[in-house]
Amino acid sequence: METNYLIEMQHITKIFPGVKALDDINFTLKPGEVHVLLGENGAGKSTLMKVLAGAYTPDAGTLLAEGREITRFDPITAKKNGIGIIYQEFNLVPYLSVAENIYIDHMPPKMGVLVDRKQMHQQADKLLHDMKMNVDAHALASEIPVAQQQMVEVAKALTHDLKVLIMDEPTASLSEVEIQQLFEIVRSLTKQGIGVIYISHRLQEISQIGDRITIMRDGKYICTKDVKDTSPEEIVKLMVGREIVDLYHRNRQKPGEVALKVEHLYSEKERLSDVGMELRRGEIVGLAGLVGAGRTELARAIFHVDPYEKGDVTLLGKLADKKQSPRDMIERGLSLIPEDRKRQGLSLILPIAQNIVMASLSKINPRGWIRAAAEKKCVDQYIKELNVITPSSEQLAGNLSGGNQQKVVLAKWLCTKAEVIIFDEPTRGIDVGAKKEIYAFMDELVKTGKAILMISSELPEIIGMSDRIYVMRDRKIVKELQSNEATQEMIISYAMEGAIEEERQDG
Amino acid sequence: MDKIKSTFKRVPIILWFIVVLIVLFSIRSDQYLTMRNLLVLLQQGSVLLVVASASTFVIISGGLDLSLGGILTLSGVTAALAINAGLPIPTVLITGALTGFVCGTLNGFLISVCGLQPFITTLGTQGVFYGLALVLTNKQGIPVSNEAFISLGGLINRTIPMAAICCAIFYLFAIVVQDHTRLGRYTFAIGGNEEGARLSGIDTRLWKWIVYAFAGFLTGLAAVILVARLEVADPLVGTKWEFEAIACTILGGTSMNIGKGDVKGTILGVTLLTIIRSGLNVIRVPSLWQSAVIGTVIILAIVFQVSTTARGEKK
Repeated sequence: METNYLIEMQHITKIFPGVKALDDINFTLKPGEVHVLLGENGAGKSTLMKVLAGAYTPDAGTLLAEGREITRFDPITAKKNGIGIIYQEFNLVPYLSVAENIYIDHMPPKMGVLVDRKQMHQQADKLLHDMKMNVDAHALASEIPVAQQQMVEVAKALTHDLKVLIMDEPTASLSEVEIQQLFEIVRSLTKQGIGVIYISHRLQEISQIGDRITIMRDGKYICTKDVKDTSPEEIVKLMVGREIVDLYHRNRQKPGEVALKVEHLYSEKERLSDVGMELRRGEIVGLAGLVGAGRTELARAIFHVDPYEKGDVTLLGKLADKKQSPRDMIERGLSLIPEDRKRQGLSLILPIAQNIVMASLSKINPRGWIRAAAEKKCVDQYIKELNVITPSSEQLAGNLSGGNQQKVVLAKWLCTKAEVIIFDEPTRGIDVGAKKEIYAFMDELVKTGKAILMISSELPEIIGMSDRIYVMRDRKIVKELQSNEATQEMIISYAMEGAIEEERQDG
Repeated sequence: MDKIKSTFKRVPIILWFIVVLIVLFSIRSDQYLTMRNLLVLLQQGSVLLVVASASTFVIISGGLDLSLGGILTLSGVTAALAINAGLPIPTVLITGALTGFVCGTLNGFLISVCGLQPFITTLGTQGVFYGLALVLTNKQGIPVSNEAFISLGGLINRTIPMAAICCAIFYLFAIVVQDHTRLGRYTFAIGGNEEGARLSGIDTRLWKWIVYAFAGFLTGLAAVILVARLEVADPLVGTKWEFEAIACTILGGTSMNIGKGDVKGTILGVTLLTIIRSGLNVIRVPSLWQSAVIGTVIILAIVFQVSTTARGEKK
């Protein structure tokens, strides 16, 4: 057995209820290399790294660290084995100083119980200086810019005897200069023999920093290659090679009048810049892009949940005021079916019936008085139409399966008699049968002249269901495609930085 | 039907407490299970029931109101001033309710519009309400002597418990609001998932505000009956009521912070508390010890309540 690997993962499998998140994955890491892990949203990269960092226990497979088999999976063991991870969402304590954050789990002691603050700050200063970072160790973590917070996370990992550093999309919020700074640090780490696992969606970074690359797709291992032996085109092809199964049921028709129009929309808070798009009656328009591209943020701005400073949103021919609330938008016929149905779409501890009527109480009960019969009629109609499988409408929403929960969310919005519906990841985490039903229902909706904007990270879903597709990247719409000309490769390369030119795609 | 069933499934443990205590007390004293004593209990518990219902609304919505005792006191004082000024009884009722409503509106404004924490906000306004009551009464209780008014809180012919009847009407009103109005629904929606409620187009700020105002309104109504029953508006009468109201709410099966609960359950909490308090006198527990015993029994009941609901939910 070779033991010159820092990390060897063999046949790792992890099953979540209803999903095989990791299916027989192999992965190795050599000392001093940068190994890039690549895959679409939901390919299983983060799950694999969480296994490595001890956040998840795999259901099958072995993990070797420097040739020794690891049997305990918890973050403390992982740390002892020299594995450090920087998660996409930072874990800094906002109202502690930079130094306190860096030494959060082993502050230098003084007289047994106290913390030697002076020494801690000196150590932190030295560490940051060695990293050529201009950060005040006394500053509060919440006071320093995001890029520096990222560096603090790196510094925090370095205070341990580090052998492996996992970085999950570290450059997502960094500027070009800061990225180069980060790369410098990464290079100095690899020089010391530390192995770095690097997750990124930016193709151009891969050739800059990566030595080897492993591609994953749908929880499966696809291949590992040397970066110098591959090309961006090949990488994209390997990433998206998913089959389009015949789930999608569309009766395409000529689109009607414009139902929703967005022009030059800017939002400071959500960093949306100059977004423009339109949606016609009878149309399903797909909104594609990677996580963080700004798709959900755009939807929330259109729905007036989050503010925008500039730009016009015109709904069914009427210009919306920036000050309007979601309630106003619902009254005018817009619905937003949020991506996180458990946190935003449903109240899990309320019965199905109450969830279904929640957004339309004032429509059904105009005088504030609950009219039970009218509610029941509405509830029963949609339970039947959408084929929600439940013993009774009084069942708590939390007791339903994912697919049925999603149908309840759908029913809730159909109840408002919306004309324009935004679906955010309409089929995430639900089984194929329910998926198919939801697709058929969406088709039914646009047939009756409604308009649908569908945000989705599943490219086959985008291509299979949409009439047109907008691709977002870095909080902008970068491309509009007709679905009959769109391919998964095209969409993913527009969605990722360093896109391959159009001509080469066509050829 | 399912709802009634689930309510009953959730409460048996506290019903057992009540039954056991009644049996215990009536064995120890033959004075306990008499019509006369039961009427007294009804009169005593009924006002608390209304205040506890107000508290239940607030807690289901994810909030907390520590100022209900203050509201009770201040509304009682304004009602007493109104009746002593010779105003007709309906006007007096409206005066009390309106005082409570205004107090609740202030709470709601601070919490939902200014975004302050409910705990610290209502702790502060509690002081304000008690303070105003002290100023208005000049530290003295205001006696009321209007016969018709006093009869609202008294035992007519020693058999008709008017305070209980009035409060039962207010309680039914609270149940109807919870089950049959948008306010009731939105209380659950906001408590269970405020962001989800907002995305459903519910004006969560407005409705949270209304919940506090409504709680104040109910408490103001209760205050009028309390003054009629005691025949005096005491500037310190509400002390500890807010805590008892919260205890009864939790005993009745309402949970903090998850939007789950029921005004209907609250009556059980009130029953338990009232029974213990009166029973301790009957079995001659020294008054110095009563408070400690009551606290212990409440905690025991809640421990059982929580552990059984937790088990029920896992199934």
